[in-house]
Amino acid sequence: MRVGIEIGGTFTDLVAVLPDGTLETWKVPSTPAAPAEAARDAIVEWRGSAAGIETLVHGSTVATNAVIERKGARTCLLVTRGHRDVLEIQRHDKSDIFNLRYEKPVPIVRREAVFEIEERLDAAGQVVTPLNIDDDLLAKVKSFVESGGRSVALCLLHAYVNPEHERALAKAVASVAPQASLSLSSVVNPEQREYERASTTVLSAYLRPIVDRYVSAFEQQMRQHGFAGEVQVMQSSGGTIPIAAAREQSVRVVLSGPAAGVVGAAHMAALSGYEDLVTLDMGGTSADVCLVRGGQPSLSFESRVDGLPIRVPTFDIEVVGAGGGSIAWIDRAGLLQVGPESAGASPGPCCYGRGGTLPTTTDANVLLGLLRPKRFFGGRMELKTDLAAAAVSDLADKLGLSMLDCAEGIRRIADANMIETIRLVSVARGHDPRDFALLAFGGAGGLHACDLAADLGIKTVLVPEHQGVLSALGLLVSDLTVDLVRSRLHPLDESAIAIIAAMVSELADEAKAELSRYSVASEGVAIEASLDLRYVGQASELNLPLGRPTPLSGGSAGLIDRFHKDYRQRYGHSFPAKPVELVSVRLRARRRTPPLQLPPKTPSGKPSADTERIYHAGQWRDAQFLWRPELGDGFTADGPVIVEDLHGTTFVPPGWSMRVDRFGMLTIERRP
Amino acid sequence: MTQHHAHDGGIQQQVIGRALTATASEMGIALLRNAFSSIVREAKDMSTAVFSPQGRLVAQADHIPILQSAMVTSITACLDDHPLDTLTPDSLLITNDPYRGCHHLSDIALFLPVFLNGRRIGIVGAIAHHVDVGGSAAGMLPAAREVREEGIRIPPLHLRLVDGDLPPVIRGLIASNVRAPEAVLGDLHAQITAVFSGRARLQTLAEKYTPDVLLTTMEQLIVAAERAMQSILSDLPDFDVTGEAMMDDDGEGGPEVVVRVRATKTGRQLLFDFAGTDAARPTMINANVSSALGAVWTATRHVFASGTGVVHNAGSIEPIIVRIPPGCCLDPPPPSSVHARVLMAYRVYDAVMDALSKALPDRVCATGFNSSVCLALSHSTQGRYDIFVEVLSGGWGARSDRDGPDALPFPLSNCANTPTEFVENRFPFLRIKTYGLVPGSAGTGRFRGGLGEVKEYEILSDNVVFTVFTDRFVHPAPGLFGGAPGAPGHMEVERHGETIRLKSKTGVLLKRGDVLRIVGGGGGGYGDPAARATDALAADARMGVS
Repeated sequence: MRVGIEIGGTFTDLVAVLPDGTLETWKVPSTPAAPAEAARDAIVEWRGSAAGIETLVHGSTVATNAVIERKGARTCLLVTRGHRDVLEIQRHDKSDIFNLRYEKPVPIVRREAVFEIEERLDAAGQVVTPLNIDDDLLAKVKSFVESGGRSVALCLLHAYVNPEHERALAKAVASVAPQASLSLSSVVNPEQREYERASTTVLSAYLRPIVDRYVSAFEQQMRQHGFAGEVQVMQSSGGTIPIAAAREQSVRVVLSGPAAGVVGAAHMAALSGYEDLVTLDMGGTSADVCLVRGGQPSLSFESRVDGLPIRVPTFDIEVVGAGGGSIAWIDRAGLLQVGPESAGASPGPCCYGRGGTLPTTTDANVLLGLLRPKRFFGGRMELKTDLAAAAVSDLADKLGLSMLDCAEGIRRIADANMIETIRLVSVARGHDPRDFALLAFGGAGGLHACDLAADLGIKTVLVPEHQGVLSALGLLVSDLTVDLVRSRLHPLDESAIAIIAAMVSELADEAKAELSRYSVASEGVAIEASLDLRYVGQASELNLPLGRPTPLSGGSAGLIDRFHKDYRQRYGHSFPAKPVELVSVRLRARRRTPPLQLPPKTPSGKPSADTERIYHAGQWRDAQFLWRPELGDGFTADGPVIVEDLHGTTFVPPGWSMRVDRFGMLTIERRP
Repeated sequence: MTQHHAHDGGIQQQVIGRALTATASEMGIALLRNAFSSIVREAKDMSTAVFSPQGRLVAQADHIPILQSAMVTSITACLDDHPLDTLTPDSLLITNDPYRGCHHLSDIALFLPVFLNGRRIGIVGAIAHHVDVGGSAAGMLPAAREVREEGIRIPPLHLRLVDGDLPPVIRGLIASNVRAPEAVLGDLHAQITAVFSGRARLQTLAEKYTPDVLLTTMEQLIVAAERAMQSILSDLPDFDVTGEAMMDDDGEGGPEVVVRVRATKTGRQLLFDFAGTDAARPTMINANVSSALGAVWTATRHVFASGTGVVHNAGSIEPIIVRIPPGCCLDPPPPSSVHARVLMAYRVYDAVMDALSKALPDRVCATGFNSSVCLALSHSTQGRYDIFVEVLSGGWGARSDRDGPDALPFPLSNCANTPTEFVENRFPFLRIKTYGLVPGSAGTGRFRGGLGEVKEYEILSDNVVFTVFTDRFVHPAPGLFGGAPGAPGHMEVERHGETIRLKSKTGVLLKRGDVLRIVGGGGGGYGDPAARATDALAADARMGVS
């Protein structure tokens, strides 16, 4: 049996595939002080014990939180002489240019814990100044570790080309401070650009002891409750790694939560036959948008955690400050705005009755009748319509609108914020949103999806079954994945082909060795290589998948041709006369997890339907309210319909129709 | 989905406003992703915008603050020469003329009118800083007296697109006048890609909402921004204050140049009068009117509009009146050089901030080093130029409630630095020996200024031409309300054990083995140093920066 446990900020979700293919889910409140306890609670409440679980896949926000709250391990950094301030100076560019009170992201390791060493390589990795490990430096590191420092990060210039100095230095450090945890930039992130590499390495060093302690606690909790199988941990790339690998490569598990949701969403969509998607995960404070093509979520090789760059493969997720808790307000011009400020989970929207007084998107949805006060969270939480009305009326008066028109206005502006993000995400990557289906999940995604689709010209909206536990479900279906990268700047000519072939084969061997180190058999492991290429003179690269089976047989001309083509697809034009260069070779080894074999969602007779009024497009009208668990394969209905579920609500507007397929997917399309 | 309520509380206006702002951002993304030269890519020295059919600014993407103004002034000049009724769907307006609304010749502006079914529904524009536009030296000039020395000058021209690109005759003319034709033409092409993406989006919006609704909304957005700015101003007490800021020299041994401003706030209006500012100099340190406007608009946005969500467009600048006496260093007589205009623009920013500090002490910051170190190191082999252009920084002034950031691009700029590993790969004649903060360079105060930064380049080939301009080697960034000044900047070359001090605006020929050291200074402090919190003092000591 395979079980996924996802620890989120508010809830800890468990999803299990039983031997007959059915899914079981369980939800318990998270326990932020000791997150592993919630995982134990979920197991114990669900079936009393963890016995019989073969694979337990785990995702958590422990690493992300450790960075945001600066609760990682005390870390020092060793750098090439003359470059002590690499983490303080950063890359200079400001993320907010019209803010006089702008602050840079605060480095994980401050100046007092950065030590310089005499050594220097040139850009080709040749020694300019030999490594000179002086006693003074070793004494500093020793005293740092003896005074409570736990991690030592090393990032020497050009070490991504030649790691020898880093290795020798690491050996010397280990001899004086054997208890320290060491992270080498040439291992963690062997790529060009020293600030980004140092930042990634330092984050890795900072997180390793934390992640190690956490996953050990998690595993121990499970073993105490009868667990005898293997634990895997989710990475930000949407693939899992064995627990032993997570201990070593902690930096890869940051940002895993949103990735798991996208994996789950893409998987459910693929079962229903949809592979080109824009996913929209709309929760309480924000909405995550990600593009999925051919069933593969788009990857990015650099992202940020709390403003700090981190170079590990991560789903290319754009976050927009539009959630159920986004606050509506009136700006200086007297116009309505929604977000990015959010009432969050506490106090939350006014209608939660927990002290919130500022009107939110959720309050608007309650007043419009789309959320029924007694049916929220499957009736587990009663919403206070009067509190929502008071807050929205106040805003409406200032705008000279009726309360209901104001509520619709709040929805429209929240929608506009998401629409522009979806458009930027797709257009900036060379795609037309009309070629995609919009897949909505999270508590509020289904409430807004059809309006967004209408504006974007998207024909099909999908709302998957299990939308409240899609991240945990994503854990169940993700592949065990090892990602490797090696940089090599070289003109993309005939001589590059042999270099690429050799690098791919070395990386493949390395991946297999890594898998076998974690006792993963290499049978059934698929190898996918890709190249980072760019026009000579440009600084941003395009990742070109090599494909199979004989990717290099076309020689450099074949690759160059494909590069021009991909470039044109993405940017609308290419530069056929410009030379192309190789920057890095990437390799992904993955052991496929078989897709879920879900039993069909059989019809259970005619579902019960309530009819109640909703306010839509400026008028009251009757709408059907359906209870999702009752909707079986083949069920269809014409909007206006509201489909209620334990963890989310879906709105099918007038003019749209929905149908349910055998996997429980709601497919909503505009009526011709 | 389109709704036409007589009164909908401005909801549709907001929705269309979002779409127009996103259109400008989308153009910016297209430009950035297609750009070749590092100055666009890393420094984001560019701007993209959407205008009404009459050429009034509706939405502009946030890239580099100083270029806010160039969009407005250069389209005005283009439309003065080429009236709106002469524009057709294949028109393209182009200029880089600093006497016609651009900041300096390096910035080339393109504007494309957008039509739907024969009706003009808007204009879209893209400006980018080009790595080389010809002139007497590669990249940055060490000295220039008139604009002709700066490179190719393109007056406002009305071109016709040929196969979706600049006409070959213009491409040829530009290519033969610049040192890096591939990069320049590549970046111009990126600009064209950007305006095409803006055109497509604007047409889609007009189809969706109807051209009438789109155009009415553009006007409403402008009115709304004006109202917002007026409401912010009317909530503040009236004031009448003066401020000034000083540049060390004019680059050719001339004395200090002083910018003086009187800031008067009356009701909903703000007037900046630069009467009394020193006369223009016959060197390249003058600003022009557009650069000065960019500095004033940025300072006012920092002080008044930060965090208010006010959109920058033709309306938000309406309540801000700027008077610049002709002939002063902010409006020099043609053909004076304005190549180093960013430095004088910073003095405008500093003078405005100095004035406002007397009226609104808790909304301002002390003066920063505010002298971008604009440098070029170039090496040519067999007639092919390899030009490395970089902008270094220094410390910001302390704010009224917190320290100034260390080593960060100043308020008018947003240039990224270039990674050492990238430089050494791409420019094999350079090695970066040191890149770090300068301890002790911050002006002390209750809140300290930001620290300056130092970079040392080891020169690995003969015949490397170094050109640079910066400032505050003599007069450091002053402190505010008892805060101490930051450290001044300096520059020197180490050659065979000898140290050669360099001036702040200069050019030298470097030899193999030379070490060039560039030090950007610190920012001024805010408030009495004795009032600094003990934990802040302890942190400074621990970090080794005091």
